[in-house]
Amino acid sequence: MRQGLVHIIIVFLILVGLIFLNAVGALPPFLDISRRSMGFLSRPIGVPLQVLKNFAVGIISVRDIMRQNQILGRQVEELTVQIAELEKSDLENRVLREALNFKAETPFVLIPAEVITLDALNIDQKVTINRGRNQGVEAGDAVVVSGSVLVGAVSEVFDSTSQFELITSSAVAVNAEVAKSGASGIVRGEHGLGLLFDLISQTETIEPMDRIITSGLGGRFPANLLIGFVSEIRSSSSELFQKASVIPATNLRNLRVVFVVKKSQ
Amino acid sequence: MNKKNIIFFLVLIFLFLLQIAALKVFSNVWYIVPQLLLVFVIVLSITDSLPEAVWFAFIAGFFAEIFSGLFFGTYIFGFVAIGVGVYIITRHLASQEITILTAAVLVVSGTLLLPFLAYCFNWLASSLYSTLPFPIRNFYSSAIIWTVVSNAIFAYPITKILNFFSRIQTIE
Repeated sequence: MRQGLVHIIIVFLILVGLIFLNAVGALPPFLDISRRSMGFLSRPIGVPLQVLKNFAVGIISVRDIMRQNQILGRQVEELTVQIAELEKSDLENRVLREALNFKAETPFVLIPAEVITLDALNIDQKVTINRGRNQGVEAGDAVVVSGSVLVGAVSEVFDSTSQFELITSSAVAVNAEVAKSGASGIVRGEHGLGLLFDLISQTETIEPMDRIITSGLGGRFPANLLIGFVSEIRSSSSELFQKASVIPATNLRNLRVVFVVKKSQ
Repeated sequence: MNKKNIIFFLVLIFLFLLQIAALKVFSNVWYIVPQLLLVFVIVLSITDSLPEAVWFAFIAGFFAEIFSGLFFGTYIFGFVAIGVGVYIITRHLASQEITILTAAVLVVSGTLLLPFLAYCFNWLASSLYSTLPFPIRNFYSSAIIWTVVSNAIFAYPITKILNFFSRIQTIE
């Protein structure tokens, strides 16, 4: 037992040394290389697991898939009609912008990145991606999927990998507004459990299923990125501000490929 | 480092790769993915000597740190503390015969204890102004029940794997 105690003391001294090395920046390059190599080595193991998952999902959800197919078929028809209307509106918008001499919106540069893995024990809300400082990723950059659905913000950057915090994390707060009414407030994470749309003035109108988008205020996140949909209005009229629960626009636990948003120079 | 430890080290690497691949594939139901590194540490602490338990807990913790978003050292501290705790319990407090049930109880306890140790370590780091404090509810979600069940189930095959390699070494 006494010999074991010596080993425990040595291990804790090494731990203190590693914490120091991490604090002075000597360890992150090693962690960066380890992430890339371990991510690469785990790929062959992921293939049979994916086959297993597809097989299980296929068996369980054949009926669901058929039902979803019908629903999606109907949605495609509706969306086709909406696209036609939006194209018309877009044309009209461009003509009016030109007529009023409005400045064009700043286009974004998207850096595609593959999710290496989630936090190994999933205690917090961070995701590791295979793009880092060498590819132009910087701390604070917004992370999106499908071009304009906000999923998080980069929190830590290494040379070739980085980590981003999901929007459901309590460490992330986004200036947001309701797309329909323009009601503005702040969307913040609820410790990984969901999203809360807070600090909305009582004079503003919000309704269930309203689309919540980034307002662009403060400059941290670009404007017009979709965050989610209002699911429930939580506050009463006696409170100073309105609050609402928000359903994220995408499944944040099923991210494979994401895009880091860089504002073009 | 003897042959058995080299084999255990390779098993640990395989379990780590399996865990990160499984977390990626089953990311939408991440809570059912077992914490293979933690289970490995607990099973090894039951069956092997204290120095081996401590060093393998350290290595497993270091692997977990690679993809961790928490303050560096959280998992190393948690794994070593659990490894030492399991060793002390099984050598001094529990009965001589360690059954599968005892192992399962230790795995369940370790799974429930790890978030608390992570919270304590994070609290200590935040009190030294090295990181921001997280509330304890960040570390415990209702999904932990699934992880506990999953860890308890996977404790059995991992015990068998480690016993198998230990037996090969003994025969040689």
